[in-house]
Amino acid sequence: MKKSHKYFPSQRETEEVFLLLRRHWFAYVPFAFIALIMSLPLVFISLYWTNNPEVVAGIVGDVLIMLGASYLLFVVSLLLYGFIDYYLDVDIITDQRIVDIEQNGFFRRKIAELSLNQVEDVAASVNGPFQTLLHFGDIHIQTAGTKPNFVFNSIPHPYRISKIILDLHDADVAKTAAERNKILSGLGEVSDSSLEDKRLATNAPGPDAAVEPAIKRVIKPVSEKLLAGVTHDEAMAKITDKVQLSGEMKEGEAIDLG
Amino acid sequence: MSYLLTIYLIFLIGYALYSAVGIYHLWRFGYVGDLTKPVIVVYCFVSLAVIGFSLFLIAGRNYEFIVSWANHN
Repeated sequence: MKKSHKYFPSQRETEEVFLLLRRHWFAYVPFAFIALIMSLPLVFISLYWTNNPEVVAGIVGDVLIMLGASYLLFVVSLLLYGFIDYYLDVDIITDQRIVDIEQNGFFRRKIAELSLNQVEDVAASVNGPFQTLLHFGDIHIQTAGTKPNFVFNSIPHPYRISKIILDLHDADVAKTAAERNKILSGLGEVSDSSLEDKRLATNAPGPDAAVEPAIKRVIKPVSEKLLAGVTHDEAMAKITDKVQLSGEMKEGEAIDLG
Repeated sequence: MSYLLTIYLIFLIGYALYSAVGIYHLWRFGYVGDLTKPVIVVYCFVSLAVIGFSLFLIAGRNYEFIVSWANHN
């Protein structure tokens, strides 16, 4: 039996996930740095204790042990808090929409969705020396209508990702146009057997013939780009394992470019 | 000393509740093959090591005290 797995609550059965993006690891560095600074006093206290064991004898030593352990656990819990805030912020790009999952602390989780055909413009920006050297930056997705714009912060390889989003948008537009043509031409009616017979007799291409090349023309280059080096070698190997050229994913696995 | 230990145990209970909530989030919202599960393991290991080591130190110190007290009598 196939185990059902969804990357976000409203994922449809036919919806394929192309990218699962997390912020660059550098976004977690401030948390780690603060934790490191906070744990420095413990190092000094331990050194002092080792050199002067008589000073911390008796009740003072007990208090120091409990306070030190509590303080260290507090630092570890801060690291966990920071990790949850950093790692559970996920941007998912499927063949139909863009999903922005934002986790703020433990009890605030926001999921925003944007249909690919509502994408108006995608802009990538890399600011500062760290972003330039480590290849990460922000992606701004301008939406049609009154919907708020999407901003993905500290995403690895923002230029390539923005191009992929635009390609998927083009594919979605082509697919929608082809489906509209299919409906308008009436070839999509299964009950209309006379039209279908006529098409078969004249060897004319079927309704899907208009749709498939339009999608494949766009989707296939997207997949090839993914395989051609969106990220470093290890991630490439990971993607090669997990994504087939048709853009299909294995059940229950994620492409993580972070 | 018993007051101190009580306060420390209350802190540990609060820490355990906090950790349970954090681990639940990682377990619930993580994906297959990502870093959430290893982080849960590392976090539990580090927390238990710190708690265990602190209790070991406290117990060791009290043991020394009891021995010295027994020797004087």
